[in-house]
Amino acid sequence: MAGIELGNVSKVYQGSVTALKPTTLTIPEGGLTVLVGPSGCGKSTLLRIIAGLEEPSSGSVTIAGRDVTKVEPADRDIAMVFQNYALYPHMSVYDNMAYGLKNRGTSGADIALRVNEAARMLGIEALLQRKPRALSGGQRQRVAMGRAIVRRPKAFLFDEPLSNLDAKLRGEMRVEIRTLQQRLGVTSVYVTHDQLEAMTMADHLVVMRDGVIVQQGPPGRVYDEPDNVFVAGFLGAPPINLLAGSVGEDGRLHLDCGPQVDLPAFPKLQPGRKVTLGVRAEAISIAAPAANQQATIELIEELGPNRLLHMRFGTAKIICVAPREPALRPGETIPIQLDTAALKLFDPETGSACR
Amino acid sequence: MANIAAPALRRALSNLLLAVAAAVLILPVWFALVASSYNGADFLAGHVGLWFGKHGLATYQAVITGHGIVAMALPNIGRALVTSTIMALLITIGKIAISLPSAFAVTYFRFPLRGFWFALIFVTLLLPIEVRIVPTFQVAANFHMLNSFTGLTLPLIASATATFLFRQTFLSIPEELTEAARLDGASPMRFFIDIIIPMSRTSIAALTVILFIYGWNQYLWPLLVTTKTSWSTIVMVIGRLSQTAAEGDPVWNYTMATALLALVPPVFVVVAMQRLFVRGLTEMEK
Ligand SMILES: Nc1ncnc2c1ncn2[C@@H]1O[C@H](COP(=O)(O)OP(=O)(O)O)[C@@H](O)[C@H]1O
Ligand SMILES: [Mg+2]
Repeated sequence: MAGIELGNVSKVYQGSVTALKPTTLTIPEGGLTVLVGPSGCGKSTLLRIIAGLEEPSSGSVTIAGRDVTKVEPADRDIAMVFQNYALYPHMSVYDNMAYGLKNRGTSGADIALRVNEAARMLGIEALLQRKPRALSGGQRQRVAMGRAIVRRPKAFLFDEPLSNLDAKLRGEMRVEIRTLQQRLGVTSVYVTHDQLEAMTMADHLVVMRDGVIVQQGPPGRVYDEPDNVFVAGFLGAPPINLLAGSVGEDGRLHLDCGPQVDLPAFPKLQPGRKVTLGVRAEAISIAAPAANQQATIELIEELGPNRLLHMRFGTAKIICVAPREPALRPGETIPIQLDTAALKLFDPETGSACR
Repeated sequence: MANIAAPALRRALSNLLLAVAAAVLILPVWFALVASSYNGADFLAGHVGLWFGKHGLATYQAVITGHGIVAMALPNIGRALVTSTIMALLITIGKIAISLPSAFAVTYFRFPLRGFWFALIFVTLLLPIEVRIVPTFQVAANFHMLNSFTGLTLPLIASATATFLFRQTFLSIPEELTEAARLDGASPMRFFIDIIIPMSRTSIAALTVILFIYGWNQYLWPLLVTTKTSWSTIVMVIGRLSQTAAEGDPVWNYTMATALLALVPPVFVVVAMQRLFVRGLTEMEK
């Protein structure tokens, strides 16, 4: 109950752009909740409404049991980490971290204590007297986090904090933020458009699209049981294979691209019904003993521990993850098997999952 | 071969161009310097060349102490320099002190008729002192502001240009910084003082130079609003000296010497601000 509650919150910009449709969301206390979705889906708007930087067109915001809908951002007991760090360029790292505390009238000794503690936690003690321009991207990111930590807020809000870093650093900072968040145990909301970041960091995953929450839950469950074809396609790399088809009189799925697939997990389907089949790349295994399908390899991408096979399956293209053995060559036709327990079916009209 | 020579040749050419441009700019100053080192008679006889004469020391002594030219009822040049400096400083500080907060208001605050007020500030661009000189003089006279620094500076202080330039500077400050400051609990005034002003120092330095020179070069208004010679500005003194030509006894050497002395404070301001200005530029965030 003491996390963040959004009650029917919506946002219409300038009376015309609906960035967020009425949304009710409970963000669990102490965990890291990730808001993920394609750019423009309203994630930042939602986060900024929690921060108080944006006034909701309707609805209420409750943080740690206190209704803060009409409260100034500074008095909401939250701290935010921005995409471009938003460090004050003319202030030293120390002053950047101390500024919020100074404005709150915290004593100098207390400020020094807290800033030094946060700096130690983030490994930036040696940088305290530097100006932001003398820091690398990763260091700036740490300072921005330090500025949030020293406040000891009820909640951390992150808006795409890693998107300005290179891939390697992003991976490191991801782990670092996650570790820090778990150590501090502060309720956190993390906005990203990157599904990998979302999957790896979230305790609670919230997928958004066009101003609406389309699914939420633990990341593993959202990945395994997508409620609709959008969520299925958005999560996972390589993306899920989507193949159109219809259910035959025999209960098998007749794919438009040619092959037929058994559907033991869906015994109650109406014959003749049109569906979209979703097969994750890792749900396709090659050269298995019971293999009953065939595909032709078009391209092989080596990833190191395993490889991606781009294959022609009937007339459609599919991607599968395969081990490095056995040796395969493009052009080869190989037996493959679809893991029937992991197949998803979606309604081609509504996009929602058939269960 | 030609490829290797090309950059060197181009560098030589551009250096030459810069040298010529510098010479063109420096030439009038050089002439003034040379001219001030002859006495009045040599000047009239056309003996002034490109190199110094023998009376340089005497000219500057006369100009600084006032001996020899007191007869013309000229104000003390030191005093005129001080008057000009104070006037230019007051105008500069006044303009910046007024336009910083007004730019802050029109950029960051939503208040009724904001566009109208902003336009109103802009309209003052159409009303430089020369256009409204008679009514402004009347007002100054009625308020007993003749022969005072208030009278010299106040009518010149309102500045749409500076307001507009500061507004542009403020608009270039990323919005995320404003939001970070809001979250950091900075009140609007704290935000203005702690964030906006330090981040605008490059613009402030540039404007200080421009406005100081604007103030320093004022001629018409000081001429009207001062009636006592003791309130003369240095530009007025130069004007008075060059008028002597019409009265039959031109003292070009004194005029040139005074003009050169009048260059010193603006040059000092330019040099002082240039350092801050350049540092501000190199310190700017990407
Ligand atoms: N200040 C604004 N004024 C008008 N429209 C806005 C504003 N901010 C965002 N929007 C619009 O609202 C929608 C959602 O934006 P945003 O929440 O920033 O998306 P995301 O962070 O998911 O990329 C977008 O269509 C965007 O163009
Ligand atoms: Mg965003």
